[in-house]
Amino acid sequence: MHETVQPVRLPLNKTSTLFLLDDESVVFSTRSKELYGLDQTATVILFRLEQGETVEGVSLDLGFTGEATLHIQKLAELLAGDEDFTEEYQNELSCPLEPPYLTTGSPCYQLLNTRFAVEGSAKVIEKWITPFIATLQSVEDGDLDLLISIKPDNDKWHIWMNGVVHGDPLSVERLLPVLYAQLRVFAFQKHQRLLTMHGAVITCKSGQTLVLAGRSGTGKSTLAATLLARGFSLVSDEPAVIDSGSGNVLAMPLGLGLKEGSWSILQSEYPQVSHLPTHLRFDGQKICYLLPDSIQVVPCYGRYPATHLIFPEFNPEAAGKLEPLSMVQTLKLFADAGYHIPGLDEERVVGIINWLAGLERYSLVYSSTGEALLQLKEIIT
Amino acid sequence: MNKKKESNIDTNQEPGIVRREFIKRFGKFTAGTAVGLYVLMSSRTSKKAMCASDAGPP
Repeated sequence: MHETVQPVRLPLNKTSTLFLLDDESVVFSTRSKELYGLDQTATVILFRLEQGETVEGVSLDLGFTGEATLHIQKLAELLAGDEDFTEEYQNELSCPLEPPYLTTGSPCYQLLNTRFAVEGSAKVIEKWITPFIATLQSVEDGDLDLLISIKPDNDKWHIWMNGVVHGDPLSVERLLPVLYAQLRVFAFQKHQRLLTMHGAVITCKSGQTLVLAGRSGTGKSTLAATLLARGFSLVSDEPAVIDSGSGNVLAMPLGLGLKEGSWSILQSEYPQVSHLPTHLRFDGQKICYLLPDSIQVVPCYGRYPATHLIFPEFNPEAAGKLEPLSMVQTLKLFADAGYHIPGLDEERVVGIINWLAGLERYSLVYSSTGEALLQLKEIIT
Repeated sequence: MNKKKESNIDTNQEPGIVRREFIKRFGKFTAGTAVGLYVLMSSRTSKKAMCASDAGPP
């Protein structure tokens, strides 16, 4: 059993609200639309500043110098409601979501509530695309939300989505990773979601559903593949989409992508891995996909209540370690992993905190998949 | 198991009292204590978020 922490709402100023989470806190600013995490020390200092103490006074009293003093200054700005910590900006997918298109002849597929078809060079589609989306084929005909066209450009290929060309022309080896990515983004943007995070999701018959989250290259897909070889089923791989109403993870069972670095590690579970068709990611790394012929996947339209959120980190030189995470630690790793949130407001912040509070949350450092399995035995059945 | 509740502060009290109790409970720092302040989420970080994912740049 894990103990959940209910956020306690404490207004901070006209534009910011603090949510006390046991011994730490988060602050949401409606002005900057940003969420800040404060550990125990930062929360104490914020409260002291709120009671009228000065930045200099608090710094002197606590013996803080250097960066710590800068953080106290930032806390004062947060308290005054004139913080500005980031210079990032919004960038939305440029593919039109509407109107629906009608086609005839091409098979229809469905991912979440997006119905799509792929047309163009039959040779390329047959070899490089169709096998990787076969499980999504829809039995019903009807209007399409998305028409993907693969059009030649000299010896390369352009991806068109609803009549809009996407990016630069690509070699055939690069087509599928880009197509997968754009398809997923299109599908989840169309869905009412609480959040989308970077991670793989697997589930087992006992009802435990694990979200393995983290930046690219942290070993989450390797760990997912290891567990898939031991009775788990794939719910989703990059991204994990959380439904806004139920808080469940939405099934997006495309193939599980494995980068070249994991192939030798997974040789015993998947001897075929080094012989699978190789694709190239946007960053040039080689990747292959485990498809439903070699792994169990859940049905396309399923929804799964997540039970565990785990941030794995493969490090062959480190000792294995499984550690529970506080809410702010979780949110920090969550932000580091990469996410997409459709409009951040106070209601969504509370929704995200409540969703996270309902999960068991851990960081997992592992130096081998066997070691990871041993660690995970402590928390999953 | 998630981190156990540590504060034991009665959060049903008036907000000012909750704040004072928090300072009283956690306000004693040892030398070298670091201040943890992080930007966790921003409506302006979509590009960063998407690029950080395996989906690649939008």
